Amino acid sequence: MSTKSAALRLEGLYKQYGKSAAVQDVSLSIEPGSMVALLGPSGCGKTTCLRMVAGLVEPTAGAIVLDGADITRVPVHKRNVGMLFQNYALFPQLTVAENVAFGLKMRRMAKAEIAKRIAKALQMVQLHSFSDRYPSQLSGGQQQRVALARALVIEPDLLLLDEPLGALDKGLRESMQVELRLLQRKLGITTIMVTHDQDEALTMADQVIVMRDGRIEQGGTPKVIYQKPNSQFVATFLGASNLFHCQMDAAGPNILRSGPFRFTVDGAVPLTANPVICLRPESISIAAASAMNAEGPNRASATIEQVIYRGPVMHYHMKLETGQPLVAYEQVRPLHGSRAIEVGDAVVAHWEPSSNHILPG
Amino acid sequence: MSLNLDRFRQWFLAVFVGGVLIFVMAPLFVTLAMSFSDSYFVAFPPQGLTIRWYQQILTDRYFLSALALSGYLAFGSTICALLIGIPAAMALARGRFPGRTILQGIILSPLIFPELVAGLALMQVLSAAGMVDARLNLLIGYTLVAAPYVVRAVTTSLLLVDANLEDAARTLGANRFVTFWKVTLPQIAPGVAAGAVFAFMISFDNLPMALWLADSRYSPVPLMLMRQLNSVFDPSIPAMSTVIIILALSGALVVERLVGMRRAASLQP
Repeated sequence: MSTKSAALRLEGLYKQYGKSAAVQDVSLSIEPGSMVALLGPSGCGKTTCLRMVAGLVEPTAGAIVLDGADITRVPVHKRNVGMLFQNYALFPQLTVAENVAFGLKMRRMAKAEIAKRIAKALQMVQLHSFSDRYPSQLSGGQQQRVALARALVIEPDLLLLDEPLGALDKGLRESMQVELRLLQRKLGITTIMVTHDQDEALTMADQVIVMRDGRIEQGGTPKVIYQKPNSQFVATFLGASNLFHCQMDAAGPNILRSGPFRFTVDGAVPLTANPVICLRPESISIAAASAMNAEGPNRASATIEQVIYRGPVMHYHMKLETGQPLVAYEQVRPLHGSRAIEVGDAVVAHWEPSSNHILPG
Repeated sequence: MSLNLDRFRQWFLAVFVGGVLIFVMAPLFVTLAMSFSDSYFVAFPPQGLTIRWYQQILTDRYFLSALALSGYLAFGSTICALLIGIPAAMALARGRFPGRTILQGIILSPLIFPELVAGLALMQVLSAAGMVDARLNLLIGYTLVAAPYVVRAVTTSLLLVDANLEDAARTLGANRFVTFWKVTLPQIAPGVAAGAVFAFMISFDNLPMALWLADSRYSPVPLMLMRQLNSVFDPSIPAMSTVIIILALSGALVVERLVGMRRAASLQP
């Protein structure tokens, strides 16, 4: 199956429903062949964005540009996009092969050519022996593969995924994420995915666009989005964060203070009104109170409140002397023996200055 | 103790269901029985046994032409009701426009509105417009009465159809019409069939509209039966009724079979 990689640009997209704006001023440039995830809580406008790109929703303002051509007013059935839905949306009265053939028949392709392409597409998703079954006879994962074959067989310019794996259980979802990503890379098809699952976005996308209330909050590579969030919303939406509201400290230009705690940063603190320190749980280490002094910056004495064993990772929920909670993750290393940290233990939490990420208040 | 209670429940259920069945079915059987009565007046229990009333009505030109008229009208108004009702249901179920619920109320209002009043109003409008053909007027009246049943049945089944199926078809290159024909219609076929059966039956035995819109030349069966009742009340009337019941029953069975086959096709094992 050959697909050409198309570049997509969204220019100031707006969508107004009555008096409320579902999408406001969304501008975005997508590299040919890359995968972009629109991530956000429900109602943030990510699905509306995707449906505007598909042509199922007409934008109130703005433009959608595909390979330099403005397709904003092109009707959906002439856009040549492949789309996957959360509930698969297979035609129940048609067999697997007939489902895959649907888009080809709409293009009035010759019968022999259709048969050839169906075989190839089903081969690609490893369902060639299921062509005469009906969707109701397939499992959820198999149904989504058929939907994928149906979307890709028309050799679309864009692949649009609307929470495609949301209905699958965890194990299957994770293996489908990897599989879908491999296939997308191999075909080099420009892809937009909508999801509310930050793990899925980080796993699959080249670029993650975090949305909130119809606007883009932050866009960037998974690494940037996770390590350098530019707002408290992004920081808390992508995984757990320990947040400390700080003031500048008189002791130095690179020191922030939050109650009794001091944070040092590399270089000078950027001038923000009420800076907030964002500290990821995995960057915090724990030492026994008897083994380490709690004085000094980037340290805090705490009491263990809860210890959670999560297989590869231990979660420690602590209470600081100020009553604030603090969460730390620690890699489980069976070969190094297990540490005896128990609920009620007095500990010192400590971290590197480079872990202190400053957010605007 | 609980065994007794279970037994009591079963008995109660059996008696209750039996009672409902008798309540619904008894009039049909009484009618059927009376139609074979060998007497000059309608009698129950029937006196003697004869099929002469059937011989009489099946050679009665007035009855046969009334039956034919009713059949044509019911068929025609069902078609019209489907042509109006399905697009209306699409708009109500899929459309997002202001005043949608109000429009739905207006479209379904003939279900609640007394037909006698609607018939009178329609007659005045039609005569003011100079329309004198009773057959056409009846067709319009019956369509008015039948369309809401189609709208309701089709709207209900449209709401059960996953709208994503339509979106998927459109992204695959089907325009709105092809999407409706290839994807939506097969899904709502049971609703369309149910709406069509209702529309047919409502038109076939509608009296209130006929009272206002029929004339002496073109009288549908219900009106003809009413007139007959007023002149002679002999067993030909239950015989005619039985013929109507059988026609209705077979119509319903045919549609049920069609719908049943559709269902089987979509859920094939």
